[in-house]
Amino acid sequence: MPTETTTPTITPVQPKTNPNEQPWTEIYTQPIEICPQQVRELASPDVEP
Amino acid sequence: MSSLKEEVIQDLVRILEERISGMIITNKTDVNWLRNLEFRKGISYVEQDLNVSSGRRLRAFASLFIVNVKDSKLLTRGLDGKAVYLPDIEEYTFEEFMYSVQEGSQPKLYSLLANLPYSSPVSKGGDFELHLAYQDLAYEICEDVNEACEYFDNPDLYYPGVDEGIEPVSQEFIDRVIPSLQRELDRELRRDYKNNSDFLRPAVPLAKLPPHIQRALVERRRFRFSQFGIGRKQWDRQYLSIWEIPEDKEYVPRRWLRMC
Repeated sequence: MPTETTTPTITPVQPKTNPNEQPWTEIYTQPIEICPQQVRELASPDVEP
Repeated sequence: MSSLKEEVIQDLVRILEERISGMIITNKTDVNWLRNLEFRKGISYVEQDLNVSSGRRLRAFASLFIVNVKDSKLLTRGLDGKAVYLPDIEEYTFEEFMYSVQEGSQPKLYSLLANLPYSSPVSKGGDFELHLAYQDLAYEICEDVNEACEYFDNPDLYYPGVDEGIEPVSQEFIDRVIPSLQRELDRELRRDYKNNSDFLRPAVPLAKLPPHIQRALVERRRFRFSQFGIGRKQWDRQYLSIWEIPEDKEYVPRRWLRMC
């Protein structure tokens, strides 16, 4: 009997042999997808401008 | 413009103090802020895609006052839920309000906006974040990061840095900025929607960008800060001033131009 899990598995999507066949946007999370607060953290105010 | 009533001013000051202290920096607030960010160009509100409203300083200024607008007269709402409404006058715009404060009509408001913490306090489970009023700056940096990642599809990507107007970035600095950007990208992953999968797409590996693109990205980051009036001086004193953001009346964030 399969075991249910509520924890999502973090598994990178494996690129095809020719990386040009799979856009990077389908392989990786795009920075522009993250939420507004995370974007403000991305600005990294703990590092000087 | 007509004078604001004293009680309106007092409420605005109170709410500004809350926002400046970072007390309401929460994910829920941010979502509402983004979803409902609206500029009203007059009391007779005409719905428009506010996100493309222009003005670098004006957008930062107004962002501190507008929260979850559902009523055409609602200006903002404090932590206690108490609403502040626009005064009932014929013509009123945020631009006029900003200029009025800028020119000295409301010294306490002016002072509050001249002393924003460089970064908001750490929200639960998060890292230091740029002050809420500088969301546009954060989005500009995000756009630059995203553009750099086009390298993964195109090794010949043309991704220029910034040659003038900023201090050159050192390799040591690049080696600090890239990991700090990566830290935040690693924290928030998205699912593989195309394949309707629950698998989380990993964060882009910025360290795999070639040196010249990493350098250009870090230069752009420094440049974006400077476009919002932030440099060594502001970093050293650890507070920001809305009034140091260039007015730049035609400015609209690239994010919204891309999305519209």
